[in-house]
Amino acid sequence: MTFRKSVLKGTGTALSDRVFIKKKKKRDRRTFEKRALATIIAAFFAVLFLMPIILTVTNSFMSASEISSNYGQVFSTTDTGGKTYISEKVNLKFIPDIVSFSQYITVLLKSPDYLFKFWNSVILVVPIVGFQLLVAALASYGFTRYRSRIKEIIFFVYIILMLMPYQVTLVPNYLVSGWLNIIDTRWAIWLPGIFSPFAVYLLTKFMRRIPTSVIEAAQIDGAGEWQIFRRICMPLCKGCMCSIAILIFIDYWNMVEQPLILLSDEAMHPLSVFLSKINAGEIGLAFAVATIYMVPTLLVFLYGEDYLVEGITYQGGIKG
Amino acid sequence: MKKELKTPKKEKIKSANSLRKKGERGKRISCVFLSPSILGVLVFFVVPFLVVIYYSVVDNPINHSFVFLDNFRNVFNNGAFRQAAFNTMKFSLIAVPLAVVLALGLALLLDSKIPFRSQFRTFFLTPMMVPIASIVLIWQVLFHYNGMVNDVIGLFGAGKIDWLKSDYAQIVIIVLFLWKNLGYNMILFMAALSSIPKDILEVAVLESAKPRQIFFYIKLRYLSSTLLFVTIMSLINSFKVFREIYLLTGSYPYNTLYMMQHFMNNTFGSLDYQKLSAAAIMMSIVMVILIGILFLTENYFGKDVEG
Amino acid sequence: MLALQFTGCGKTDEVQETAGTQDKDYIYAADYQDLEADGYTTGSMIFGEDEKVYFAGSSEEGIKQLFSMDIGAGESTASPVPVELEADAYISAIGTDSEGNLLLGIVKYADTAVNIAADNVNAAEDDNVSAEDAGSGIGGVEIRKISLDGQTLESVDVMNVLGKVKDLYIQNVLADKDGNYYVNANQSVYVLKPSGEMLCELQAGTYIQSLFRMKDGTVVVGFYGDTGWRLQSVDLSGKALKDLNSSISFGYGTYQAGVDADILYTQDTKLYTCNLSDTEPTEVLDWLESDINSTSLQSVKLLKDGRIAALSMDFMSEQSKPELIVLTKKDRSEVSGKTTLTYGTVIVPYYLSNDIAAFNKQSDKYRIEVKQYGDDSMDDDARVALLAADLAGGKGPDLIDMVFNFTSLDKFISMGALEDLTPYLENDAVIKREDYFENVLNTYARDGKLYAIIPCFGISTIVGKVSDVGDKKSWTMDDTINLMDSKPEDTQILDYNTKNSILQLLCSMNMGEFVDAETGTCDFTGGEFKRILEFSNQFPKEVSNDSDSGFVDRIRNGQLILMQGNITSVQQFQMYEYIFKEEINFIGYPTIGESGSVIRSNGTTAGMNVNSKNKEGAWEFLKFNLTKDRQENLQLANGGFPTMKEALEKQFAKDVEAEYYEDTDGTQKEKSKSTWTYGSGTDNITMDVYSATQEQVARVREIIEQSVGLDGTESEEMLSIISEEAQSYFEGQKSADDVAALVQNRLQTYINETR
Repeated sequence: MTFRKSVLKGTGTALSDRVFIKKKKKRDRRTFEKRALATIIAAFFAVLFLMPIILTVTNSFMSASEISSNYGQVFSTTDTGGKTYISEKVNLKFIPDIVSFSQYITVLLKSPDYLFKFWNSVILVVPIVGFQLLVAALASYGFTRYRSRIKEIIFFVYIILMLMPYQVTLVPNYLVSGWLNIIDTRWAIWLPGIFSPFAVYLLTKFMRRIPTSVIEAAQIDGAGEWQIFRRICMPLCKGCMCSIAILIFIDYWNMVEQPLILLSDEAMHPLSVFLSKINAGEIGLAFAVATIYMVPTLLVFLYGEDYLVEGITYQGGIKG
Repeated sequence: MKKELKTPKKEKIKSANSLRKKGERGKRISCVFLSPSILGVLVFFVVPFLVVIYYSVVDNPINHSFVFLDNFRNVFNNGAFRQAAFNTMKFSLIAVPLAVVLALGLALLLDSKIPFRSQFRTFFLTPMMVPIASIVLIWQVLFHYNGMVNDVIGLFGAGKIDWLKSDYAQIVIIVLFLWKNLGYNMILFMAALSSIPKDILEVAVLESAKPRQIFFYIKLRYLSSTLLFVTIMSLINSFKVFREIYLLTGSYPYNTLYMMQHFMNNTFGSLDYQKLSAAAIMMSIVMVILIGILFLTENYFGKDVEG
Repeated sequence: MLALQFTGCGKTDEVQETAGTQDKDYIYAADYQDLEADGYTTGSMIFGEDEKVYFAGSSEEGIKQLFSMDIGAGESTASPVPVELEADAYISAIGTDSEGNLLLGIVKYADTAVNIAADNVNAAEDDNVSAEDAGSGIGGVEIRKISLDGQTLESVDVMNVLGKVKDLYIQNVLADKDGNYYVNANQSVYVLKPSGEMLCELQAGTYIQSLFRMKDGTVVVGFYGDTGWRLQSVDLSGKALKDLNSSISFGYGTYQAGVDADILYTQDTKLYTCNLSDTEPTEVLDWLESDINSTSLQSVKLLKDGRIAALSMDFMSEQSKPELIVLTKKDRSEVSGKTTLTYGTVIVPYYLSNDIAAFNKQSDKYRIEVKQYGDDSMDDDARVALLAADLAGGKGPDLIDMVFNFTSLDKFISMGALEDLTPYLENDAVIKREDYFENVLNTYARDGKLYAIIPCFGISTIVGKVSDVGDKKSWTMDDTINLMDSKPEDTQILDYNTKNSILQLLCSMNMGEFVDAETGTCDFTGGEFKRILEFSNQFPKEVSNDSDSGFVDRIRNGQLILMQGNITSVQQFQMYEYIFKEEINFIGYPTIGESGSVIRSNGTTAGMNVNSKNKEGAWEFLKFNLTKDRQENLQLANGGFPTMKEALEKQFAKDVEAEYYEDTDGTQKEKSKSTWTYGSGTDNITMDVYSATQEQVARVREIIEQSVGLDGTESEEMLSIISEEAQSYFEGQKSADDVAALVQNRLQTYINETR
């Protein structure tokens, strides 16, 4: 299986857990070398991964004119709608010539438009995160308890629906929203978001790993389903729910397609839509907007990163 | 080795009878728990999907006359569709395993008690935060004909390459995809790695198992369900990378970048719903098969650790 | 991810509602009253601070009079307000001050009495035309403050301030709470002290559409500036115009002070009210719902009893008729037994609102309501996609607008959304197909089926001298290239042309050469495409304005060879002849086909939804635009040729007919039909058009008869890919072969997909 081969290749250098006790000194040195190598590799990747975020932040302190002279042609379009050709050399520039707060002043003080859009993002995303979790928690519990063939099939359908690219159900989604008369209202974004199978899938995967003994013990003590759900299951799922919340948040915080199709009123569009259609005229503000836009994600990460790491798989030991 | 992997037998439950009675009620209650989600999914996901199926077998959404497989035949014979299907499959078959394997590698790397682990972990996650405008800008600047990468390879005397409009284009996109998704996959693996019972690893060490053996016989087995999970997540994300491809290269990119979503997006734009729907159904069928295989594989490899 | 198709376009802030109009359960029913009923020609008209309408009229005999009519009290006849006017003075503008009195802007003519009030109404329509000696000899200008019963309270002679203004035409007048007068005349607002001395002149540099006083006393002007619609307040301390501070983005429209709110305005087809502090305006009503053409509205009044009154002057029809419209809110059901049809469109041009309002007014069986798809943030494709989604969901409009692009026509046909109109046209009792230009009708026909009715059209073509392009009916790209090669180095083929625009032009006309629609293959790697690339590369990269002579000079002395033209009237043909000063030929775009002159729709062009429940009604509307009466009035309303042959001939007859007037020295002189200005900025040419010759008419007729519709093979997507790739060649960074290969690669995908 090629799969395994590549696994082997990928990890050969990383495995440093040598366990032989003999030749202690030599072993220590080898471990040290390996660790140093591993650190260097990790550092290399870290730089690559960090580059865009650093670039976004540092460039937000450039003046609008400096930005457009650097990257203007990347975002300009021709009169026919095509991209213009970048005719001169373009380079990423990390350090501004002059540190300027003009972008922020414009975005935060002069044109309230961007703050409105930011607020739109919040209004659209927060209810989705909250209610998707609620609906998913209930459903996952339903999927976990008393597993049956039908439930398995339904669960499989959830997975398939979750995997569908957005294009597939674009038209019918619009139609259904039309039937429900929610087009051009936030409900058209909220409702499909709230009922998305994504969180159900993740949470069910998690809950199924909670040992049945825990639940059965409660059951013997006379707890009803609601109590088991509320008092046993939910506390165990807290970490997982947090990590799913982060994922959902990031997903919807970055949404572009849904608002464009379902909310024709531009005044309701979130900031992500603006950031996906930056053009040459707006590039001068884009980095400050992008930086402000990253703040909530950053906060969510800082607050919840540990959950993200520990949350997805059940930690209480794996027992049948 | 095998012995340790066996899970402890379930504890026999004493009062099985009373539980069975409760079970009947519980089953019904569990359906109540499911109902809001099922209702919502029906309305917002299943019904639209049924509409897609309906569209795929009628001549057009106005006339509604039944044509059975005609649309499928047309789409299947369509050169662009074939190109898109081929590209998408190729992309997924390369990018998804890479995303899984490299992420696992990174996870093991960070697992090996190097300094600044948690900082590295955070750094690897940052691509998830970066807004699309920055990503597009950076990739454009890096890989354009007059961009930075050509500048750098120019120093070594290599000729200019139009990265996004040549046969290298798919590599660029795979790099973009990996860059965006490795961090999260890595986190998933790290979580799974830390959940492997320490006693089993210790026993293995005591029994002089080689690291390679520990990895294959213990870690990988415990990771199998995470592997499936990461694969599914990567698959989802591999469809999402279209947004970046689109913004970088437009509706009709260089032909090796022309993905299934291009086909669907463009047929939607030209109001050809029947074509769009037939393509969508075919894609779903492939997906069902793919996920089915993944499930079976997981069952085969992972049964003994999960139960 | 279709959504990303929405992204290419620029950002606009205009707020537009897409919501259909059907969901309201009330409707404003309109009553019309002709303000010229008793033989007076009406000039300036306003609503007073009370609920009266005041208007100035002049009779055939030269009697000028101020009238008032109390709408609030339900009066339907006007009564004169006694105002003393000298024989050669007339009321140019009526306004109000903040104390409830009326202001009259009175202009006195030095020489002969003309029926000026009426003339000047026409002048307001288009200030280019106002050159018609309106204010040549002004003998006096006066601002008079009168009480509501006509007593003169104050009279300020402002002759020495405003009399100097060339071609003075006072459009609005008002006073602020300090008694300063504001006079809107000739692209400026003149602010005068109560004594009549000039305080300052505030120039807008363009026609000022609106001047009004908000309830807090701020005076506001609205005009269409260089960067779009501007709404600015008069800042007397800075003697300047200052942008209003509001988060609402105002667009072109008619603005006035609100009653309880700050501003009341009509933008597009809707009436809004708002305070400047609001984030969004409140919609009061949609004029179109009440069958009112919002472009002809002058002023609106919200009456205390909930009715709404409006003053309208329709400049689009033959006789501009001043009307008072009173709207009463009624239950939708009680108003009409009319069947409602919907008209789906992505934008509502003025002629569409015109046609629908006219249809609704005359039909006692059907009412058309507009449903607009998408907003300014979307490009056309995205808007069309929304319309298509409705069609697919069975909620589509009965009539589908087809003006804008041919690609959407083909999309709708492939969707099966459009009804074949051939049987309707052939079986109609009134309309006979043979009365109309077949080639024009066929613009919207595919495979023998007619999918839309085009009542009014123009011809898009290329104009050149016969000495350059010959007198052939069409030419090929090779001819074009040869012509250019035969000219000296610095000769330009078309003005304002760049490498890119030439490339696009040539490619769009020759797409058929590269694409084999039958096999679904394309070949851009052959020599032909590279030739086009090389040819286009001779042009400048950007539009250069370095030539010191104007385009007319350059055309006449041969430095510039061709012009892109859009002719919609014989007068335009005459203008081109005048510009070229030589015999001209409308050779058309280079093509391998029979003609390179293209028919373009220039009026309400719509198709019928296959699933419409009211096909009969839909046909009524389509047919309405083809009726003789409508067709004969098209030229004035739309500025295009009517599709009906007879109507066109009638128009031609008008074009050749000369009208005369007696000059001051007693000789008969021909009156000019109109004045045309062509060009931009300072580089323009103005000419008076007189009656056409039979020869000229024959030429136009010939062009019309030989023009063709586009077959839709040109696609914007293809052109944009070509021009995107070609730029690296133009920059000298890639070879023509590389570019051709890339174009081939990407376009083949496009062509495969559309099969």
